[in-house]
Amino acid sequence: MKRRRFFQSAIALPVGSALLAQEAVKPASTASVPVATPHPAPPTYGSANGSGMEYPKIETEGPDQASTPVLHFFSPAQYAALKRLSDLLMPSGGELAGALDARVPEFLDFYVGKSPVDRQDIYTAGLDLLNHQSTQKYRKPFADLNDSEAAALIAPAVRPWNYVAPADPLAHFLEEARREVRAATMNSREYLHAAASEPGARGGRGGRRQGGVGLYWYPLD
Amino acid sequence: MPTQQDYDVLIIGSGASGGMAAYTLTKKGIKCLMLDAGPNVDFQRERALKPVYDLPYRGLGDPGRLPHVIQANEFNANQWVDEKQVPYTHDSKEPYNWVRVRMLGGKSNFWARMSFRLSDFEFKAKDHDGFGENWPISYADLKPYYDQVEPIFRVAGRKEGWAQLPDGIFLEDDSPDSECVKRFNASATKLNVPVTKMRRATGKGPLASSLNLLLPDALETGNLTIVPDSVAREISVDKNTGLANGVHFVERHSKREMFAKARCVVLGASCLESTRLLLNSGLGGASGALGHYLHDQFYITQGVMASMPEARDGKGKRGMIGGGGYIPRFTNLIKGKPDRDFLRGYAMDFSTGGTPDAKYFPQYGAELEKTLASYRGTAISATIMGEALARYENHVTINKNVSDAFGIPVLNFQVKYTDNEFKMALDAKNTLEEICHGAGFDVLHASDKMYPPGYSIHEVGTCRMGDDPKKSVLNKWNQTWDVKNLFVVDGSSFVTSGPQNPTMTILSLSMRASEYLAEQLRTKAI
Repeated sequence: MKRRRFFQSAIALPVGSALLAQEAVKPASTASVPVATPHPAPPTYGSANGSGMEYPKIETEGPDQASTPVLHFFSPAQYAALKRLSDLLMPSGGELAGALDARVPEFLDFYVGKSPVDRQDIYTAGLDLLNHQSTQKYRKPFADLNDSEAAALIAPAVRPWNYVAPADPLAHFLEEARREVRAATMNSREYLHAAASEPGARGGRGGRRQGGVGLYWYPLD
Repeated sequence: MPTQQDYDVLIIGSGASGGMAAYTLTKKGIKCLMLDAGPNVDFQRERALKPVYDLPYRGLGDPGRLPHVIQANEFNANQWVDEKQVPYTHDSKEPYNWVRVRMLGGKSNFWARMSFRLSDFEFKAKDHDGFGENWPISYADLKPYYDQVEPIFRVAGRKEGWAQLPDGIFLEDDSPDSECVKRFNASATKLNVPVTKMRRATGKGPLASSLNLLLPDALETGNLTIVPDSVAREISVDKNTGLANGVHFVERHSKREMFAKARCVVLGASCLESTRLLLNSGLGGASGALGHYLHDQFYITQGVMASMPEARDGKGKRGMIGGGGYIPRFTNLIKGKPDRDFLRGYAMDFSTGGTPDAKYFPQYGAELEKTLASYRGTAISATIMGEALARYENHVTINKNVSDAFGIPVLNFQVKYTDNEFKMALDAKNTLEEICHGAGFDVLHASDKMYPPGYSIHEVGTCRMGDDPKKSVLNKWNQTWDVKNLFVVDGSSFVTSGPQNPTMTILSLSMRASEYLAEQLRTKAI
């Protein structure tokens, strides 16, 4: 056990330190050892304290900052309704980013598309119902409603949360959408940066997992 | 370092129970080998601060990855056992949330630290109300061990002198209550509902774990060898003596088959992993009780969500709101005079000063944000923790058709709550609402809908102890009736759970059993 710990310690030491450690335990030279003529000093590739062994840290961006996600899950009509609903639930305004600034509809197309089928059904059924009711009431799809029309349409189905999911599929969808559109907006880079620059903001308005920083566990080795 | 022939005791598991076994045995000069299924985690290397937007799913979590672990989020998902690697099965209509951790220190690295003693309302529950069985020990038997365990874990609390929640060796908590907590307490008192300070292990540094409070001392003796990444598959028995002589295990990374030998085997792998190991080994089953009587505490984490109106709109001045408390069981305490339409009782803890979640308000957009700003820092929330009765029909078996990534057959669960739990939950919700209304708080939400069984991570009972070998798996020393050098020291030995969090009892039972085992080894009775 001790032997293994020793090797683990040695591996953990920077190379420079390990070499210095070896120097420290060398026996003192004796008078009989001839003194060699000093060679010219070798070229220096790094500092003596090992800082020359540091690896470079390159600044990068996430894919959302440099490209556009390819949509694949929702139908065009469903996606248009989701976009309109997202803007209604988390509108842009003031200095904070809204759902469209944070590209929440694009994110949800990916996220819901990767979710179990029962979760997908909540979204697709809900969005289809929004379009159906909108067409019946206003003779146009949900995406084309103005704010007051859209608000009036969803009002009967917006309820406070309870453990038991609403039996009404539109109410169930709106419960999920209200939570996820808000979370996906507040956890976005756009929202966090805007919130952090608000007057009086202390390191971001969001909490630990809402626009903030958290202690992330890497996959265990 | 001892060779593999030299170990007196082989301990499976390094959490609260396994850690305490190692702590107790090694101090008595007994050579122990400890196997744990998980890695020796380097907390500096395995964790890092990250902004939520850098996570693949913006903090919403990988969809469908940990369907049974409600506690998981995208930050901590990797700390839990991967359900695809180590699956289990259950009827789709009767879910069970088996929440597991596999790493050195086990769940003791993450527990909520709530630290309570059981009382004779639990140990002698059958004498009190006629249901189930008594434990083969009483509170007086375990008290000396609680007295030793609490100082190790540095439990803070306030002494009350209550029979149903015995006082301990506490770091006295005499911190002042906020105005909000005083109002909650006064309202509860009018309803004859007792309230005390939370009793909590303060630990040392960032942890109150086996990892920092037990294992270092055990290692210091020179009598403990720990081998992580060792997934126990089967306990081996000498055909001639009928005694356990070691454990077959699988090295986690390479899947290499290994065998570790010892004079005695102690299981502290957690209630259900120890049970699974016994079932897969064909041991401990003579009574028919093995795997049965699985129970826990049902949990309702938002039994009530209320708001203190005087603190709204930023008016919550210093000392007005913050802190919390704990309500112990207060129902059915007088023998022969039940005061409810259910058996036993529940506990509740509450906290004040947070902000109610957006989900409680039927609003969105700017209107919602305005409401949340008004309610910021005004919340009173409470969790209900009710005793689930130990019933024979709630059980686990081995599902021979499904194996985990290590080729080990998995558990199948058949567990459900019944009317006693549902009635208890309703009573708890009503009590919380009444307390909040009496205190002048606005109740935003109240619920009696509990999570599926298992959520509390307080599963116990599947290797219950008893005085009768025909009705129990273990005797009063946590020793299996069937194999006298095989002990089970985790929560599986419980006969009843009460509403109290079980960790202090698990630690105390493990210490008691380990002292007994040490004496048996010293006198060569084993």
